[in-house]
Amino acid sequence: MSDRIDAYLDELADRLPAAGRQTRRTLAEAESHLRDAAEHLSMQGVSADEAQQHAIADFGSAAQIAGAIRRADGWGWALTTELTGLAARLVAVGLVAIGASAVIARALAVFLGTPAIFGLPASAHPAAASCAHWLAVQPGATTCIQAGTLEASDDITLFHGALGVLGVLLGAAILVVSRVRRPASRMLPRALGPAIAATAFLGAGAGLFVLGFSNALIEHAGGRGLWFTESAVSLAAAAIAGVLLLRALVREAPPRLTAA
Amino acid sequence: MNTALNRGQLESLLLGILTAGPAHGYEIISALKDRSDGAFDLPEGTVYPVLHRLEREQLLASEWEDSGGRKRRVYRITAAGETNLQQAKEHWRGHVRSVNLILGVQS
Repeated sequence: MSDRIDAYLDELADRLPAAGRQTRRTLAEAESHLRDAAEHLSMQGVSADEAQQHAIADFGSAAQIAGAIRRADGWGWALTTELTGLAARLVAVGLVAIGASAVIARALAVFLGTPAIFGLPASAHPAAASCAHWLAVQPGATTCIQAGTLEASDDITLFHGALGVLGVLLGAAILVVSRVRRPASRMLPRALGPAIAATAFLGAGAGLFVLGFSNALIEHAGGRGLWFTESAVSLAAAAIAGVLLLRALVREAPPRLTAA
Repeated sequence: MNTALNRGQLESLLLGILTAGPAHGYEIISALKDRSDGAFDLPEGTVYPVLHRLEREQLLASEWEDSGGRKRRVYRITAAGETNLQQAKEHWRGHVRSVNLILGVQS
């Protein structure tokens, strides 16, 4: 005869949102309760199988228990805060990547020339007012395109760099909050963050590379260096996230059963 | 008669049951059913999350005990739990008195 209580506990375990001390305790108490109840019914003359059936019915369905646990423990709130934390970390990493790209692009511009990295496309026909503004703020430039290129270089370095600084500050704030308010148990798998980051950065890296490549083919002019730099930084971030993903998968992998 | 419990009432009932002495989950739930004459016949497993929350709120304490070859988590009410229960009783008395006054029920 199959053990109905074991099957029920398996179903309950599948419905609980996270593995951990609380889940282990819930399952242990559920088993103790169900076996006590079944034993009590058996002593009243009910068959062992029927006693288990009744004990399980009185205990409540696995869905009912999982729902009650979520309500009592505020797991909905815990899951929301954990997801928000994960999203904030991903945003922080993304902002730092943008800032790092700007710094690297600026450094590359020193060796490859500003037009190759930040240059305006050949098809660009800036308005007279824009040209006047650029030439005014970039007194070293002699042409509108040159002034526009220098202005793009300064603006991109400044704004993207500021995003990078914002990312560092956000990361520091997340670190402080996570140390002060450490959750009792994790609900999300460790691999989730690296998996999302690897996918997002890989997609961004590929997309930025295609943009840079198409820019090079179509425009035959400068400016694609920024696309390629951002693409390279994204791909590097994707590689790091990939390594973290593999580590998390190995860490969370179920133990392999070996033949005796 | 099966009676639905409002939020907070189950917590008070569990604290009230444990004033009689420490008990494990099955005993607590059996007492809840027996002492209410079957009125509070809720899915038994839904009581455990409430016990866990009361413990997190330090109104209960618990520890594993071995008895009859089976491990059972035994709960006992704490001093904070006793205080909370007294407050709940006062609140309940006031609530019942007010409802009785409106319904014209002699208490």
